[in-house]
Amino acid sequence: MPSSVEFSSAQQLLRQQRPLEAASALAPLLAREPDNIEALLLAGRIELAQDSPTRARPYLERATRLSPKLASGHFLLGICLYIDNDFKPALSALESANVLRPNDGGTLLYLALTYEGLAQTQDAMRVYPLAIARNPSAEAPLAYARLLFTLSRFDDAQAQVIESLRRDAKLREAHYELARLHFEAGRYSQSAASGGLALTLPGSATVERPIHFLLSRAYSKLNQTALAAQHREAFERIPPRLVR
Amino acid sequence: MPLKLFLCAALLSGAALFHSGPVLPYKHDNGLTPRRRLPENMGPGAAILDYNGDGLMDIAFPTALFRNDGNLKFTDVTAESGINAKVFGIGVTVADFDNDGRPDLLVTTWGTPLLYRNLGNGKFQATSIAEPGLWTVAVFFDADNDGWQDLFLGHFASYDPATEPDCSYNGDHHYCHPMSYPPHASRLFHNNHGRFEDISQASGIAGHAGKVFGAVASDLDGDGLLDLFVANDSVPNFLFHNRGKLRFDEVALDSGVAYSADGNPRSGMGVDAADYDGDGREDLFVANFNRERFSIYKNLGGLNFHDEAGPTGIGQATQMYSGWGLKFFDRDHDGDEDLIVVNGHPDDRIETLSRTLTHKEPILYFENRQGRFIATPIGADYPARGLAMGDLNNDGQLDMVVAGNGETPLIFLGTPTPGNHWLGIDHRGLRAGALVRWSVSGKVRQKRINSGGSYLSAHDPRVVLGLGGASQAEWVEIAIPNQPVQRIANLKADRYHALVR
Repeated sequence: MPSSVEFSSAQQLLRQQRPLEAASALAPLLAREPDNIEALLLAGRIELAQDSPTRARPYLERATRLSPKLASGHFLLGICLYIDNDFKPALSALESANVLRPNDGGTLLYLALTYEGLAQTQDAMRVYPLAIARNPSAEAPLAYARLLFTLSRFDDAQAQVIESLRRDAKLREAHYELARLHFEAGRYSQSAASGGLALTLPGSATVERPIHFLLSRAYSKLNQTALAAQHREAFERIPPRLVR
Repeated sequence: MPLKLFLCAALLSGAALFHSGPVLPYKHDNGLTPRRRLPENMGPGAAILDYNGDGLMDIAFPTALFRNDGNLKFTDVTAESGINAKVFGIGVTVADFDNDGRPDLLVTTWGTPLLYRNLGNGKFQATSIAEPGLWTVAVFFDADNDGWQDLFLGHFASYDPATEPDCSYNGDHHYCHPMSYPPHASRLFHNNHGRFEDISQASGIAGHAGKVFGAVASDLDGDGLLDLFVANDSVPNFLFHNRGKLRFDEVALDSGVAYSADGNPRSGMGVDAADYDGDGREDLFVANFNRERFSIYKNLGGLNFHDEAGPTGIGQATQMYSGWGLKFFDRDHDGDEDLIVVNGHPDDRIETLSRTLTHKEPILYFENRQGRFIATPIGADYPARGLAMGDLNNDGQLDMVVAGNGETPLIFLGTPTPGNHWLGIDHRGLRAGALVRWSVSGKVRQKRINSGGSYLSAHDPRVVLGLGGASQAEWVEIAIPNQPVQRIANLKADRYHALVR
């Protein structure tokens, strides 16, 4: 672990969710020691925290090239490539991380997500349960639930959502998934209730539009036209997420 | 490899389903520039039609026409036919808009869309039908059941090359995301005895700005009026419900076909309608962009649809691809609707950005096995756009013309399925909205005729029915809106029957 003041300062700033300042703090160290593995990894994490996988990638590729046996380097590179939707090299990086550090919950979760991204559904279905067993986060069963939802395996998806909520009862995305499952099953009142609860919880803003979309449909099915119109208006006010 | 395994693999391979056909002396000019302007990656469409009435299906592209001389020999007749090879052509569709018994053409362009009247002497006479724009898909359909083909003319985004956004990366220009351009309204024309009158405002069509790539006319609620489903790129799809008297209501949101399950608009490109699950209702298919998964909307009745991409296997099989031309058809003549989809990433420079995606993608054939679709790739990867299906050699096997962006088109010839028989219907009155029913060994099947579909393309107008192992159909019924049902008994298999009322 580098003992430089720059590294400690950058690390602390990143923890305080001040990535721009963290990058500035780290820059002198990287300029002085371009092969400093820990500094490269931290630089990658700072860029990822700014949603810039493209800028993170060169730092992480350099780190894994200089230290090919370092699991965390491959893991972070895998995440970076996954976020950048470049699933084939992401899979390669995550498989390397998995060999170097087997049974790591984070690695297994991203491996499953990457298999899913590559439409290797059977592999994803095999790895998700392992990731859930070794990863205490509520995100792991939720991610599995989303895959099961796309396969129309709604009962299995619901079991995973319930597990996710057991791990974090206030996870907004999990309540939204539950609302979707209720909707699919024709339980429109419960769908509206779960969706309404999701709206009140803190969490990712990206799910706000889908929640209003779902609520608009649920209230429409319940013939509550004013509420349906209100959520439709809210849904249409929020710009959609770009996929490409 | 053990013989049994080898046979299994051979049966499942694309080569066993289709084989390469003739190569046309034509290469699509996409007007490629270093700047990568929006219209360059759109076309072309393709059409299969018998323009000279000789019983052999010819092939058209937006700027070229090839006459079928028999034995799968084709002659370029573009110059003598009057087809304008100089326009920036995008799509091509076919209909007998003046009811003279001859198929006419409509070519959409980045420019003025051209309506080509078939003069019957091998020549076409062009007239412009709308102001210049970025016109993509055209669908002829009889919206008011008056016996004349009305016209939906789809427009993509408002586009001005002078204000093309800069979507470069590392010094290379890439095609911009369609979100970069504002949507634009499409048009509807009423066919008044061969003259087109713009009813876009009065019909309700003009009130909905979109970025139209695909459209299909089909009676989705069984009320005897053709509805119009329109696939948009990066904005919600439209479902125009035909309320009669040339009035349409847009109902896609309430019908469940506007957005993905999360409420995101997708990149709708190719479309089709067919009853893939045999429940008597027309379902919808939309080819989308990679990672969006393609949609297969089961028609639940009452204009309610549910995307069955998961349980049908379509979602997983298409997750990595960007789809364009497509068609439901009964390839193996077993009586159900199989499916073909041609694919290709729209960015020809995608491989400089991604090690996962490729510009050329596989053509996918999906065999329908009791409502679950099993994918098999056909041929080599290709940057496909338009797809026209038809029988180029009158052997009852549907062949395909695949038009590639900036490429020489591909022709694949259908291969017979041993033991299965077919029956072809060649009927001039067989227009969208008609219902064909047929009985084989006591089992009755049905197929509704739709108009449009695929991507910027038009298929062979004849209908091929699968008979399975039977050597004849006990009867075939043809129901055309506002006309008495026509029933013909004891039709022999493995031939076309030219039927007239």
